[in-house]
Parts: sequence; structure tokens; C-alpha cells
Amino acid sequence: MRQLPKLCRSLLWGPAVALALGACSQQATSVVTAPASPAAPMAAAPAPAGPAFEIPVEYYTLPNGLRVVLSPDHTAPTATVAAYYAVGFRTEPRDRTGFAHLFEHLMFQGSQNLGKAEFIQLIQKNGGALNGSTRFDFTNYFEVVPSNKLETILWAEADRMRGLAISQSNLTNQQGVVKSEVRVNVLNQPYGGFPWLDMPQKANKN
Amino acid sequence: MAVVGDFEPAEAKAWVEKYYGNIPSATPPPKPDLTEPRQEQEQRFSKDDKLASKPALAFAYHMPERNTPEYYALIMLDQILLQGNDSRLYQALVQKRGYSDGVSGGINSDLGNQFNYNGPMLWMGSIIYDPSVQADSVVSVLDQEISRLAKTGIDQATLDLAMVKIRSAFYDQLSGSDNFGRADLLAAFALFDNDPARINRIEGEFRKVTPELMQKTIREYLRPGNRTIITVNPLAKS
Repeated sequence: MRQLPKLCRSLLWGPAVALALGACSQQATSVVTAPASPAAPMAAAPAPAGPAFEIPVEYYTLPNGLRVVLSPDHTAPTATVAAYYAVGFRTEPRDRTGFAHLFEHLMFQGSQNLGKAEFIQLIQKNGGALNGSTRFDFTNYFEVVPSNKLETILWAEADRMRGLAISQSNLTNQQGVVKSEVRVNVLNQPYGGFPWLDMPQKANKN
Repeated sequence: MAVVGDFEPAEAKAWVEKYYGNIPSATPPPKPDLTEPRQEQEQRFSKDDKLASKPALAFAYHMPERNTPEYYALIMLDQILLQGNDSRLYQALVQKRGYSDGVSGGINSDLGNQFNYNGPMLWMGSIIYDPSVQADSVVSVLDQEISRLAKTGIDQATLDLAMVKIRSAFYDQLSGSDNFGRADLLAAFALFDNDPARINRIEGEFRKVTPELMQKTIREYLRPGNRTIITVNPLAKS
């Protein structure tokens, strides 16, 4: 396989079923059945004078280069943290594919102050949800928690940004998990990898 | 990193400074050149699938560069041709001819959405269809629907309808209960454009699209020479 991104259908760990489905549903592809076009020609609907609603965006960069976006939304007492790294599987060399996805898995296996699986437990035992995925141009990690736990999650995400506890046993274990995801979701599925893995490899020449 | 939800910015800012401020910076590796050459000739491939019991076909056209006027026009063409049960291809392939029960696809739709990528992209669709139908019949419907748009043009009412669907999907994405869709776009726009505030300008970019731009985009990007077709040869014994 040239590319082994995390599949929407696949799971990083058992209990996160609902979450993995949530991750899938974020696609912007519309399934809306729009009403039939009104027969009366509405002269080119004029653009509204100003946007009906504006998403607050506070944006700054830390001296170490980390770009930070803060966007408060008080409609529900939850907080969402999304850490995006500009590393996807698009830039993987042809003979070294799957590394971005494997690395994504290792981000859940422990860091300086969090043991194996403790990151996941920290979120879930606080009533939160989390996931990560590997895409063309980024790898992402996100957590949704009750808002009083935002500081805890910011700390935990920073802990694994600072460095991972990569051991041979974690590596071997997750190599097996990633291989298994490919077997289950691609190789042993009818239309597995069609067309999402097949097409970019055929259509693109560079 | 995007933080969205119920917090006070000053407090969150202090936490971000406290926990991330002293993480040492690292120089990112140079980005390889992934530019795609202009495709001049249609490509066709087929693959055997020992687990599939029905034939399938996928088509893909190289997209205009991200954030150009043509890019926004092609997203509108995706709405007109492929998204939803009112789309031209659903109507032609499913409702009118009964080749299949559905046609799916979009722009980066298997691994995200039309906004959260950074590099060459394809507008892609696929269909699993009845074994009595020939692959060429599916391609010919695709050709017919695209050339119908090219010949008759796209009037303002059709553009308005596409806009309704785009707004509906976009604001759904920004308003999910987990706020993930909003955080996703903010993070992607910070990462790829260094400009997360463009989340508030996206709708305006679609409003600038004119029928003339739609025609130009169809001519350059939805030409057969710009596409790749893959067919699935089903080998499963049913």
C-alpha cells in the first residue's frame, strides 16, 4: 500500500466507536436535498450587507512558531482542542509509506508524564471524547471535554507535543495494529481502497 | 492549534503560554515539489476485485489550484453535478436510468472536505452499478451531463441553488455539537493559509462566482483529457 491513512471506519481503540463515527461525519459533502429551484426567478440573490454571523477568531503565534487560534463559543459548556501538524501521507516517499499513520498511533502510546493509554483515559474518564487521523496534508489530534477540564487537556496535549515515550514494544505493537487496520479495512473489503486510495495514485503523475 | 468552546480567551491564552511556550522549536523539513503537470489525455485503468460482486467505476478530474476563483467555481459544479438527490448525476444515473442506487464523491470527501487540504486535488465520483450496464454507458452519461452544462450554460437560479446547498453544508459543519468541524477549519486555515479568519470570508468567495466563470471552469477542468477513470472488475462468485 502506498498510503495508509487512518480510515474513518477504523478505530484506534475499542471504546471510541461513537467518536470514530463522529470523525467521519465531519465531511462537508452535502447530503441535503435542496428544495426545487423556485420557478420565480429571484433576481440574483444579493449578498447580505454583512455576514449573518461571525465566528470569533483570535490568532497569534508563539515565539517557538506554534500557531494558536482561539474561538470562544459559549453555547455549551464544552471545549474542543485541535492540534494539527503539517505532516500527512502525501509527502511520504513511495517506498516508505504508512509512516505518518504509524506515528499518529504512537501519539497515543505515552509521553513524558502520561503512561500508555493514560491520555485516552484522562479524556474519557472526564467525560470527553477524542480521536486522531492522518490525512493528505496533516495529522490531527482533537479532544472535546467539559470546559472545566480545558486546562488539563491543554497540558496533556503539550506533554505529547514535547516528546513521546517511544519504546520498541509500543512500536512493534502499533505496527501490528496499523497492519491490521489495512487488512480489515482495505485488503479484505470489497471495493477496499476504491476509489480513495486507487485514484490519487493513478491520476497523479508527480 | 485551535481551541474552540466555552472559555475565557485571557485564561486560555495564559494556559497556552504556560504549557506550550517553552516547547523548543524545530525547523520543518523542506517541502517537496508536488506540482502536477497539466493532464492532456484521458487515462483509463481497471482493477480486479475478488470480493466485489458488482462492477464499479470512478472518475476524477484534476482540480484548479486551491483558493483561486476557479476552485470556488468547481466546488459549485460539484454541488450541481454530484451532491444530493437533486444533483444532475444522481438524477441521470439513479432516477432516470436506474443504473445504481447512488453515486457518491466530491472534493477530498473521503479524507476530509473541500477546504482542509493543501496541494493537488481531484474532483472525484464513483458508482457501483448493475452488472447489466456497460462501463461506457456510465461514462457517456457523465459526458452528457457535463456537456449539457457547457452548452446551455448555468443560469443564476442554478447558481443560487448550489449556493443554498453550500451554505447548508458549511454551516452544518461549523455548528456541530462537538465544535470539531469549526476547530478543523480554523486549524487547517491557520496551517495552510496562515489566516484562520478566512473562515468568515468563505461564503463571500462563493458569491463572487459568475455564470461566465462557471463556463470557463467547465471548459478547462471538466474536459475528458483532464480525467482518469478506474473500473472495478468484480470477481466474487455470488
